[in-house]
Amino acid sequence: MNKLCLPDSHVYELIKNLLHSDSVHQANITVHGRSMSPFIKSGSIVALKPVNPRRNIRIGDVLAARHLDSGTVLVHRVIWIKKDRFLLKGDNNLKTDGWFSKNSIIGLVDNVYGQGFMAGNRRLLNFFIAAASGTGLLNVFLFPLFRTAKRALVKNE
Amino acid sequence: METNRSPIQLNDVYQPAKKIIAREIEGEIIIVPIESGIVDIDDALYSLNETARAVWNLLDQKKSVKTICSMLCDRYDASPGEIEQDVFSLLEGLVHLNIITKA
Repeated sequence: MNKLCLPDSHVYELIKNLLHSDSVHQANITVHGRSMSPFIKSGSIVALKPVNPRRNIRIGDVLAARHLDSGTVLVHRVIWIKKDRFLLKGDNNLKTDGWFSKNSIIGLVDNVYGQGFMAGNRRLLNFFIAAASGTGLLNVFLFPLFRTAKRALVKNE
Repeated sequence: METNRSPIQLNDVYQPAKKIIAREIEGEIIIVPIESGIVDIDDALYSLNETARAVWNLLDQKKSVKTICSMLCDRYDASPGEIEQDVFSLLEGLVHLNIITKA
């Protein structure tokens, strides 16, 4: 009987399986890494919900998905949609993760526990964040600007 | 082996607890606690080895510990005493972790 550190392939299968069952409506997982900071900071727990077939995945949504090549589970933002394929990117990353099919998606991030926040159902705000992430405006301009402003404010205090 | 100190008795019947959910993923049975429909993947996951998996699959709310031991005796090349000891020890662990309850 062991407490487990599951490989990503097991995590993917397990969460997908659980979220498809009637008895489970939310799966919590811890996110590691800075790729989604400050929206999801490393060590925060995200609440994954099953993707509702009646609610289409939208630009700006944050999804958990399995990368086809590496097999790793990513929690990144949808920055573009083409038919049933989704372009994902970490807000702090320079490059996108590539296109993901519906089948590789585990769930939709509904909430963040710990450090971070989600725009929830605010579609316009989500779209703006996705556009800013996709164009590099977030990590090249806005994030450094906020960090500089924060440092200046702390110094003045 | 039934002893006075063990909380497990041969005539007891056990079942998976209501607050857990088990899934077989790539040959492993993984047990996750569930609370009001919410599972915490990081918090507590347990995987069962081959013997434990065999016992787990026999916990169907009907079979007594004695029946399970006897079925395992037919399946595995080990003495009844060894099998009973392994089953008792596993069930004690599962009861302690609130993974199974008495039916």
